[in-house]
Amino acid sequence: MCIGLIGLTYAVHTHAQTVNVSVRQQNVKEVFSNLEKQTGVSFVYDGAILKGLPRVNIQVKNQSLDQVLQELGRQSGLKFKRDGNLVGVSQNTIKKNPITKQKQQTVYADTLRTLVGTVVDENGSAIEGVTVRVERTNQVVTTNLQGQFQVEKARTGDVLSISSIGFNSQRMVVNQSVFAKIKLNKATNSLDEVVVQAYGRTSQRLTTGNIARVTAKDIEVQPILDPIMALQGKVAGLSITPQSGYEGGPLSIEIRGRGTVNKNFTSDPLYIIDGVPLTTLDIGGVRRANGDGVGAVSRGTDQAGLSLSGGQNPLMGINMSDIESIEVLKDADATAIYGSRGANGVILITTKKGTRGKLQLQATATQGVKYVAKRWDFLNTQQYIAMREEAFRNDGIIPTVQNAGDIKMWSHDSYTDWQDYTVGGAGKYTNIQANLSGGSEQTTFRISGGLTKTKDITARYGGNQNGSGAISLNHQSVDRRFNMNVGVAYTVAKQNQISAGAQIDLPPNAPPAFDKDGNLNFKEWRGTGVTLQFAKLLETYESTNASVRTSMLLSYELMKGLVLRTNIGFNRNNGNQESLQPIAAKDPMTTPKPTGAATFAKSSSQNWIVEPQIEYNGTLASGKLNVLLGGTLNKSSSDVLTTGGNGFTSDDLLESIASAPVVRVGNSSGQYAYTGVFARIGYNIQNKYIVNLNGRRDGSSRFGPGNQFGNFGSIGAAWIASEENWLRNVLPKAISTVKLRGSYGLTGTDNVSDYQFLSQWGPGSPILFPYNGVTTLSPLNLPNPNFHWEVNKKLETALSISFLQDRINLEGSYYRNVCDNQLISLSMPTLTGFSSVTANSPAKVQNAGLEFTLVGSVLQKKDFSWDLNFNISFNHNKLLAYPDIEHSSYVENYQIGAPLSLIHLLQYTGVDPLTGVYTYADHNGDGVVRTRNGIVPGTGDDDRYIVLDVNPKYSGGFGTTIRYKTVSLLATFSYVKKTGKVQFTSAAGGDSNIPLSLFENHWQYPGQEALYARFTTSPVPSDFNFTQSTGAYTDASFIRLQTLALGYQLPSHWLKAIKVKNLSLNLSAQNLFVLTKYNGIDPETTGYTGMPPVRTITGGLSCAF
Amino acid sequence: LIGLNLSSCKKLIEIDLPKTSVVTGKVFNSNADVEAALAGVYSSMGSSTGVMNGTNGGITLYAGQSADELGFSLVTSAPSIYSYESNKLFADSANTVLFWSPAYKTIFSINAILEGVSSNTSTGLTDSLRRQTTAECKFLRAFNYFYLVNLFGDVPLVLSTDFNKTGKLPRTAKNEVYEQIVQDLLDAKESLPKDYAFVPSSERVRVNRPAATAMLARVYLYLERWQDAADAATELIGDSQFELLTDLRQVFLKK
Repeated sequence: MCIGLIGLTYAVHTHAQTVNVSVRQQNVKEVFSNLEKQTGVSFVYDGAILKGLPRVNIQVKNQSLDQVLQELGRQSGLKFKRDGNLVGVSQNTIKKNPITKQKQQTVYADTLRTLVGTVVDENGSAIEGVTVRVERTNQVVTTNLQGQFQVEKARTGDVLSISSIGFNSQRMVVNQSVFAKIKLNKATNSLDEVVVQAYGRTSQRLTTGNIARVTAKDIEVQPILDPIMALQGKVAGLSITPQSGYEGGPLSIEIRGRGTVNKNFTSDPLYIIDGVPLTTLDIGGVRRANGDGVGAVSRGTDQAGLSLSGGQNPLMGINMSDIESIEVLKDADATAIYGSRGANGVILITTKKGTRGKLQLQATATQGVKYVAKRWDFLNTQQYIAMREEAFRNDGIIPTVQNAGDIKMWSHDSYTDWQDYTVGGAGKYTNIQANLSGGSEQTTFRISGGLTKTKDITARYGGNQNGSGAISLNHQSVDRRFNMNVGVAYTVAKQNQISAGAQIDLPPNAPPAFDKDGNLNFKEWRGTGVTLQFAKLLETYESTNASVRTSMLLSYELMKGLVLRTNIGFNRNNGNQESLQPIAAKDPMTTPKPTGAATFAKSSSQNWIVEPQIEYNGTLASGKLNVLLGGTLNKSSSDVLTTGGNGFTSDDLLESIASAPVVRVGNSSGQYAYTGVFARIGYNIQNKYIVNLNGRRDGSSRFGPGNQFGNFGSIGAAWIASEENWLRNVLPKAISTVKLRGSYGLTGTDNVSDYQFLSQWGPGSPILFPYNGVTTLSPLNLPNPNFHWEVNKKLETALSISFLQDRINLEGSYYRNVCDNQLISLSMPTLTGFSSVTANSPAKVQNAGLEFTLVGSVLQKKDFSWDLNFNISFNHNKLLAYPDIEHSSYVENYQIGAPLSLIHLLQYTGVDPLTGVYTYADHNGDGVVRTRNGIVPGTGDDDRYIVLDVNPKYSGGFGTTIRYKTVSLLATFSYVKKTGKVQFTSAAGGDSNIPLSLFENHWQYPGQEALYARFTTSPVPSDFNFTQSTGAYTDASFIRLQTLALGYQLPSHWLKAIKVKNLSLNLSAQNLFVLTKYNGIDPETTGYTGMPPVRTITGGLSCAF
Repeated sequence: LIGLNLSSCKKLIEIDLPKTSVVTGKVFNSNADVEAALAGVYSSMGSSTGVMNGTNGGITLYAGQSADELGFSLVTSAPSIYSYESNKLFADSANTVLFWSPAYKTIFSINAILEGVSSNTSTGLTDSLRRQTTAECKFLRAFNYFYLVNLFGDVPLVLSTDFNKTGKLPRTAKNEVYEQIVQDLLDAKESLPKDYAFVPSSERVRVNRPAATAMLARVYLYLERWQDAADAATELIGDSQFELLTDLRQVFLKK
């Protein structure tokens, strides 16, 4: 309050009381701001009344403000009422005045009275929970379910400040009436739009935490299947790394870096879909190492481990078109209410709901092609043979049929680009979506269905098919006290895969892979020393995951401001997998005669949650108070049954397990229970000072008795400095909002697998034979009943500045997360019986960084609009402390004070011009360049003294949307600045094809300065060392055009004739180009194996009735 | 109310016991599970990753070459194996771990069973089986340590499953390890049955009192306690169950 008063005094004393105005044909708003600058007064008005006013001409010198206002009123038809430093503006004609629609009954002039009002939205529906503040007295009231409020002791000329989340705030001057009706306009700027937060809603203006939001319009335009992939490059600090090129394959996700040193732990955030967490149990703690070797990813719905993509993302199958928004919660304030599960950040997915009004049918059909974005440029047959002959010459070996079957037995004329067989196929993308929505004042619904079908670029087999049906139903009782939202979605995700990529570097002159009967051409390949690897093209994998997701939110308002709520959810996923190894894929000439094999897996996982809550919204002194108390009860379980058959003698019977002479069966299961109580207290004074406290007490079944419960919490605060008069008066006009916020808190992780604290006995691994007829039991783990939560301390501060009436918002934030008490698989000497134990390590890892986000609509005109967004994040990861690291197994990998992603390399010193071999610096000068495992790199006889951080230096994305009339163009880019591995690191000259660039730059004769070593058929240590040297790393930075989408909406007057409300045509392209200095097919695909990046181009038609 | 809340909270996070494994508490409640655990120890020693004849043949092969009861000719193709034949061993030989880790893994199982049967008082486990299992386990522990001290000299003497106690254990002097071996064998000898009647169909696949006596005799020899060795051997020679076989092919039969 003090600050407010001082500000006021300051304003009165420093501003002239006489004014000079010289304007010609200017709009009234400009005159207002001119006068505000000169006199320090503020004009308050409902923006709507300024619309359509005539432009004014005023020429005055040293006149009083009142005189100018009189003249302004005469020209514009406005009425002004001064109250100290405030000037209320209204329309002069009583009939038009929105505030006094009711007939003025009594004129109370300046007497104190009770004012009653209603707040409605653009459609005339009441808005509940709107804050109405009398600026003179700081009295705060909120509207009830009917949108009504009551202000005691109001006076004519009082200014009411009216605000509600999701609406533009408004100021209104009380006139002589006792009634007020206020219409709030839905917020269209990114600062005031509704943002989903944990157990509630907020806006970027009011939140004390860090929440990033991606909405449907950015998600829908992307012709992909996995909703998380749609976030690529759109959220600062979120890194998404696909672990295979297969759509729906596992993703490695890190929000603000990797906090855990445990390589077997995932950094997955907590996913919550409409309030229901998506929990995937990693049965037995089995995970898949991720590509960079510093972490692991969950195998998701592929717990049996049969897929060729190395896992299946459990989010695959969620219909992209049903998603309203995805929020990414990053700091302690936003995540601490999720307690033990919020440490890696939280991703909230909110689905679309029905809208009131006329029944609306919307349908979209999209069709497109997919193809490999870039192919390897390999040698042709002549070049290949030249390479081979040169290699043999260098080695002093005479090529014979025995040692060089590829050039001695096979034709020198034939040529095959083996990429055609694997990744050279033409993929397809088809997406058909329809939804029906509508409803009455009480009940709304949305029914949607969709089918997305893709064909992979793998030439012979492979693709995805996602089908989904969803119903969302909302009901509100007539008295509006009871609310219900029910959502049910059924999705089926089908995947077909074959292995891709591994066989693309075969000799180009090799005979066809298939003979004229369509069988594998073993005959011509046999005996050449080159293996016909196309068996994998016949080994198919198929999976079907059918899931049901249900959620229900019930709420009842007991009394004004006090709401009882329960969130109930249930998910179930049933998976069927089949992996076949037919006889046709094996060389019939081998002995014993080959047989077929098949593996089947059936899995089911389920997950339910109940979260009773009670929330109070009210006022306390001059602030708005929000108190939320709640509890969580959550249980998950998973079961997998794997059946494998061996020894099939006919491929026709492969899918009949009864025909298998040998059958292996295995099962595994896991269970997880989790419970917690949480509280949040928020206090907001005048949308200027905001404090938010979160607390949570959690229990998890993953810990032993005595360690199951943990306490977490956070404190967050925000100061909207631009609400202070003193600052507003000195701020440049272009700056509309300045906000500072900060938070600190504790969150946890229970990311260990289930049952680890229990001492368990089982058949052992490998399974032991029965002893003298007795089945055996062996200890399975080194039990540790004492491990407990991993603790993450998160600190964040941020400054956000908004420009041009909040149309453009720039936010910079600094964070520092310290992960302590790390849950790791602690290495143990084998004399303890096992090589590791799940335990808390004293390792401390810090992730600190800066993030900048710019969101703005630069131009917003009737026919033309231009939106921009940009984000960048710098993360620095550091091992702060690791007591006794010299005696731990991490001594080889980690270094105190250095990032976890550090790698140790030999210093590459180029190709020896005399001998043509790779050379490296002999760090220890012992005459031998050597790498040795088991010791600290760069010490002893190990020469890897160069350290390199393979983490990105910075990364982010930017995008723009331009709309002219009904044509819109959207482009989004993602970029990364990083160091990566070069495309080719092994010795060239063997019976494998090589990239052309290598062929053209290799060493040929003594004295030649070359980029690559001589060709050889017998590599020596200097060849093998290359991959562990600085020569194998290069700049792998890139800018990728993620999505380019062009939309055209047909003019509505054309459509009226055919009774269509809306018809639009869309063209969209994914991964259209990459700007990079990287020499290879793609900076994100550094090897031959796996699926290369795919380009997708689609066209679609969308209509609404 | 808070107390009530806490105990009910604990209920809320209770989950079923694992389905594909048995928790320690349950194993030692039942005769059948204890027998299975003991079978696990015997089976692990002889398994493909076990100490006695694991990967490439385990102690049987390597120690056999070292002692010249086995010969090895593939000098160049498998130098790491040949180094045992020629008795030129190196500290970082990749094969050394093949004796070390499986032996300690087996010792872990043995210690776990010893701890389990002694702490469990359930009537599901009969006293006679408890005594029998303890005795067999002690024999097997002595057996594993006997090979460890002879292969490595001073070795850490692990007698517990608690990694907090054993994780940073230094080497124990060879003579102290021998003291434990002798003590374990004496304990085993006292409780083990004197013949094979306790084994189904009387197969000679588990240790009994004469086996403990024989092992004691051998250990005493290594300790140069000649009189003790002679006494133990004499006791065995006097046992009418046994006779010297003339045909080597009869030695390794289970009946």
